[in-house]
Amino acid sequence: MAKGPLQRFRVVDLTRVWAGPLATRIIADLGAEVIKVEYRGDRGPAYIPTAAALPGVYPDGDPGEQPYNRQGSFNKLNRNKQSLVLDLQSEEGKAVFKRLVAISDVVIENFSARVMGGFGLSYAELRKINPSLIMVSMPGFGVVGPRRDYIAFGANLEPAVGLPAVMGYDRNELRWTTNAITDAMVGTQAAMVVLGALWRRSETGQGHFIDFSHQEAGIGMLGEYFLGYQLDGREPGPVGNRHPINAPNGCYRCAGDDEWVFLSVRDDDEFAKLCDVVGHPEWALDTRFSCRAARRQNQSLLDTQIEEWTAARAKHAVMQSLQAVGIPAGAVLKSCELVSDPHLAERRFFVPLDHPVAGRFPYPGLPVRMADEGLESWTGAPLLGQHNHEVLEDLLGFSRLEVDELQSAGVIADKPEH
Amino acid sequence: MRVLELGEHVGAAYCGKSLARWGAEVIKVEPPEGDLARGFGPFKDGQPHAETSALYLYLNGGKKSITLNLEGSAGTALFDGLADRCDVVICNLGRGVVEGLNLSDYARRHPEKVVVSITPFGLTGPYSHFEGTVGVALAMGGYMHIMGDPDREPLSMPGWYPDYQAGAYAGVGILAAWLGRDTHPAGSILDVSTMEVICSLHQYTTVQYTHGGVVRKRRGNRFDGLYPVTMLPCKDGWLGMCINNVGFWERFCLMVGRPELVDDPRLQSPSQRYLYADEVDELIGPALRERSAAELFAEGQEVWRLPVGSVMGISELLGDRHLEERGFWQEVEHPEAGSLRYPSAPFLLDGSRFAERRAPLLGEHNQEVYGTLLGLSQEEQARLRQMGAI
Repeated sequence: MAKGPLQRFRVVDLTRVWAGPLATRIIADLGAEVIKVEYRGDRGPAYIPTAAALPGVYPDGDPGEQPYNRQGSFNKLNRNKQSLVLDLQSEEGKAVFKRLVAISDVVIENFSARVMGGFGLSYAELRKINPSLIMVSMPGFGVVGPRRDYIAFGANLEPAVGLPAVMGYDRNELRWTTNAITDAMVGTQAAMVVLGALWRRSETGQGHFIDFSHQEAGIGMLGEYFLGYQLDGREPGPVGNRHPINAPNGCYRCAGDDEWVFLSVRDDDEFAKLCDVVGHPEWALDTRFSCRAARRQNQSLLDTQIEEWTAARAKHAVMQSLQAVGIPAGAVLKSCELVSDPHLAERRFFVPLDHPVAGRFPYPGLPVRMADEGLESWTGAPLLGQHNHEVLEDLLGFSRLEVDELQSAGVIADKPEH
Repeated sequence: MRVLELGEHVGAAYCGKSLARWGAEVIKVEPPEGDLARGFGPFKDGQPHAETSALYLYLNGGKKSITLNLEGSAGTALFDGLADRCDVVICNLGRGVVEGLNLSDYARRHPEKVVVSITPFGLTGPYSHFEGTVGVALAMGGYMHIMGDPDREPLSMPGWYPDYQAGAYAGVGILAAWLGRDTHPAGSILDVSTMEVICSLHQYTTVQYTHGGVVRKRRGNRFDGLYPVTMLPCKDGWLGMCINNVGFWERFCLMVGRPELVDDPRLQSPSQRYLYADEVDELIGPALRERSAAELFAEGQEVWRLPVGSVMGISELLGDRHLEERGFWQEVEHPEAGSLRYPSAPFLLDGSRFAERRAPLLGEHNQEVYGTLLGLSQEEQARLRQMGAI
């Protein structure tokens, strides 16, 4: 497991899919002991895409004999964590869970709103066992409110936070990110909430229940739009790749197949330099481009000729030429270019991790870099139920015999149901 | 926790705002002419004004504002005095400022404190001197290539997503270091690179390549591989949907009045339906274009138990009943901007919201911070003002 400043905290993690596991991954990367409490079917197609659904997600496209231990996005999200498989429908399973909660700091779950209560494991019950427990429930639309029972995935949450209303090529062609962006927005913010609550508890000793909403987390990263509307009364809409201040601003085609560069010109100085670099010094004297407002108005007059220059060049060369004179420019990197990017490579951003069933792969690291990152202590994602014995015997004090009985009764498991 | 925030625009500001909500005292250092965010519209009544910028008002609730010119020896001396009295320093002003203020030395001498830098590419590496913007971060982080339509330029994101996420990660780093400061004193700058932030936040893109050699491509509104996971036009808006299993597909066909599609042999699984995505659009599109997106959202969820969601606009969300009942929008008064509804933090703590507070006026807390905290006399403050240091 990772070593780090959160070493003394224990988190019981019931979350599935992306948002929740991302939050607990961040916390695990920082050294907390994160115990995933999984149901034996949790790593099946209901939550984890199959090879057919998502090409490339298994090593060499092969699910193997234990697909539940080989899936790339699961393994990416769940490094540095432990796996305990419990049947929470059974009385014995609930009893084990409660013993774990008694010695833990945080319980975090993203079931739909009524599930934990249905298990008899609501906050009201758990706080009796552990009064200083921090419990976070994070269904898509929150625990209370008219939409509390709505089903939420990225594709139907993203429209509900206001983003696609302001994203697209023009006002008639709305787009969403297709990257379940609200999950990413939630992962970081939920991690912050867990740590904020632990900070507060360190001063008061009190536990807390947190009703966390994905919809609100998404709105929170677009907050200025909601104040803007109230201030000037204008309903915002998509503007393609244009920018309210910078111009020219956008994507320009480069040499090769589907190769692009993105550039932003923020002020008159940068514009003058752009004119020189692309071989049009006369633009700097042209009144149509003499200030930011004029450039925004007339950007389309520049785009074609800028693209004539970029289209003849490789995107990295364009990026370097523009950055050399201080103009923000970035090559639009494809996924195959991230792992080999020289900047990320020198910074060792991708972390190679071994896994007994999946093999060794580079995974995106934690983008909060410290002098002592303890990366050598990082572990790959746990196998299903890998830590059943360790948690039950070493942590909770069950005897070997008791653990074997729980295994026979199906209360714990290390294989999915058939 | 007392935080010194050296920031412009979004990254450091969002981090500071988040910490202020949890009770930190956040002192926001602005240049004498104000944070650049103050010049970023929309503004009240469409008139540019340093105190009515939507971006500034949103990002800086609950903080104290002081003015400080960091260039020159007077400025750096004041910074040193302030930093000595703070527990946390957040900076997103760039590598030059980090080095000019000697922040790594400060972090080393004060391992019990936390220092965070947010920059477009981080403090080390071949691109660490590069300039960055939202679009550049999305391009270099691998998001942009997979957004937008296949046969035209990729699409950036509106707003400031990469900077918000960098600020969120910075906040996590600060809280983690703070919680562990007795056993794991930091002793060095926490270096947040916005490019790495984006790289760390992909759903499937990176693993599809590292594990299977598959390069994910952009497909417009279609989720690559499963269908219908997409956004489609309705009579008066758009509907997002995640119809990714058997039960959902059946009920969706019934909702749109196309029951015969349930047993269509071409359309039995989401990956099969993806192969026939054009046909699926033709079969369900007309029915959707006859219905209101908002009605389909409610009916789809409440009657048919389907993961659908209408594209909700900015003013629509401001008036949304669900958010209203959750107490999400808070009315906050500001001397120049007036009374506005602000988003709350995205959670209820024991059933309650943290009270949102207003953003400060420029230099509003100069007297409190320079006079009371640093103990400078009125004469000294006047002299510093005259030389342009504050």
